[in-house]
Amino acid sequence: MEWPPINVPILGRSGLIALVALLHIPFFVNFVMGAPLIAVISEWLGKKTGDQRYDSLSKQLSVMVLVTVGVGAFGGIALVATNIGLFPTFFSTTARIFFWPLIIEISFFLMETIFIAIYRYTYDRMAHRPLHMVYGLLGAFGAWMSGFLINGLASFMLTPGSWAETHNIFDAIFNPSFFASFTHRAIAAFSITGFFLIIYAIWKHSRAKNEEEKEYGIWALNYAGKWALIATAIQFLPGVWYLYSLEVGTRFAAPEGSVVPKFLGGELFVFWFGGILLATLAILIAWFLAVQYPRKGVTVFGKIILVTSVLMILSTNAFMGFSRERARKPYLVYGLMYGNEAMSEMMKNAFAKEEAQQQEISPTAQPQIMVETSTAPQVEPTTGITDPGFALLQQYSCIGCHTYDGQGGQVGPELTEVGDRLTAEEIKTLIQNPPAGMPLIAVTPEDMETLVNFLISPQ
Amino acid sequence: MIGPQISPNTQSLMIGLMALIHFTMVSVGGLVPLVVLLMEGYALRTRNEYLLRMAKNLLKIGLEVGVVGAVLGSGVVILLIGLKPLVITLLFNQFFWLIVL
Repeated sequence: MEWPPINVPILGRSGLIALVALLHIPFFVNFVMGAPLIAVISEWLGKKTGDQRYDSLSKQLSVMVLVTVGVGAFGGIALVATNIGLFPTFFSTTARIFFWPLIIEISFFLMETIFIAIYRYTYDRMAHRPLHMVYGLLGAFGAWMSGFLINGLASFMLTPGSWAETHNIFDAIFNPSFFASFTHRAIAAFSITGFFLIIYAIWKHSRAKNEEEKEYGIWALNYAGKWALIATAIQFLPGVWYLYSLEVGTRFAAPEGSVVPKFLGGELFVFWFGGILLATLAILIAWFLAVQYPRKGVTVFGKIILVTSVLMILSTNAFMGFSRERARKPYLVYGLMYGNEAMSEMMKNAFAKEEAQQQEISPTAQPQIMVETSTAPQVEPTTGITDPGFALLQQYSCIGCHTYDGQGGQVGPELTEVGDRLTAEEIKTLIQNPPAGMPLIAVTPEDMETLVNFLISPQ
Repeated sequence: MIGPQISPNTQSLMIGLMALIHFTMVSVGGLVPLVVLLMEGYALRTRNEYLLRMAKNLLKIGLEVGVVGAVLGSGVVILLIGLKPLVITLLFNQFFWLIVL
């Protein structure tokens, strides 16, 4: 059975994933990380100052987060679905590497969903109480931990670090660009939330029925502008740190060397620098029309310019994401995995080691296999290269990837002495349930017997 | 060793449990709007304010249950891709455009 590659017209496979990611990340990852914290901080400010406008904004923000968590969850599912469908080898491999972090991430995701709902639905009864703020903080904690773990996977794709040698999940998560990347995302969370709040303030002002509501819109615009301005302005520092960590993490990871020159004057300069330029313009607009002169910001012209600034910051997000993805090409995991079929030498070795270790764990993990092996029908030992088993290796294209007796490809582990490492049933299991990177081939039961017996006792 | 070291029985148990909770929650979440619709209709006919309020609260609960069910759905996908990659990659490959739709 073959896995025919799925072609995506116009956009291409990477383009479709980028589009889904673009819809998912700013609205879900960034906003859901930043908004619950800003909601709790605003509630606390409301309690401290007695200014009810903070409470109104905090309450409205809790509604927005609740809706975003619900809708954004589907964006996450769409991202996973497109990755599985379009890059099955890559995604099944990374899902195996990051299996436990992803399961823990789902738990934090649940925590976030439940506590944000509790925070929202208890707002009227419990506002200003410490316990209510704790609900909000627990929701935020779930969102941040979720982002923390996903950042491990995302940053691993560009700087896999020493994982290839150690196979330690902590090396995969805490890779060379992990902390810089997470700091960058964390600050982006406040920046994006600030800009989304600008839209909220404009909307509130536009729908205001009286002067008091209009004043609230102007106040909200000023408050939102400060979040947007400060968070976006300080992005420069983690940006430099991230660039430095990319230099460290990619310099020796692949024959292509560091990805940083691609940003600083290379093929990605236009997107990378364009993103910075748009963010700078957005900062200037937020400073002028939201922080300094919010009354100008609520005029028709001001509103158009402010909405444009939000589009600019979303474009920055898209440009930076695009630059990061393109910088990794032709790899999916820099220096380790590229394309969907081909693997680098390092990855091949990783799988070869895994296969060799399976012999040690199988007796306890799959005892039934050992029982079946002892009762499996035995055939007379066969001889060398003229054996029908070898003909089957050729017929099913096994030696396209595996070497046998000096013949064949070198993509998969050598099969010449595979009988010393694996039992007949283990070989059969591997053929019927191939590991990531190996295609599933429909072998008839008769051929399977001949093939497996040849592999375990070729002499 | 790459990937989780879990016995086949435990793998099936994990996937089965997660799928069961997911389907239950999504089913409840999907059924609630229908029940709410009937409650709302009956409440308007009988002018029962309490029933109307109850329907409103039930809708909120149903919505949350549905969202939690969706989150657990992504858990089922992660479990399948991590533990039985062959099955899910084959399904997603064959039904990709249907899933996208």
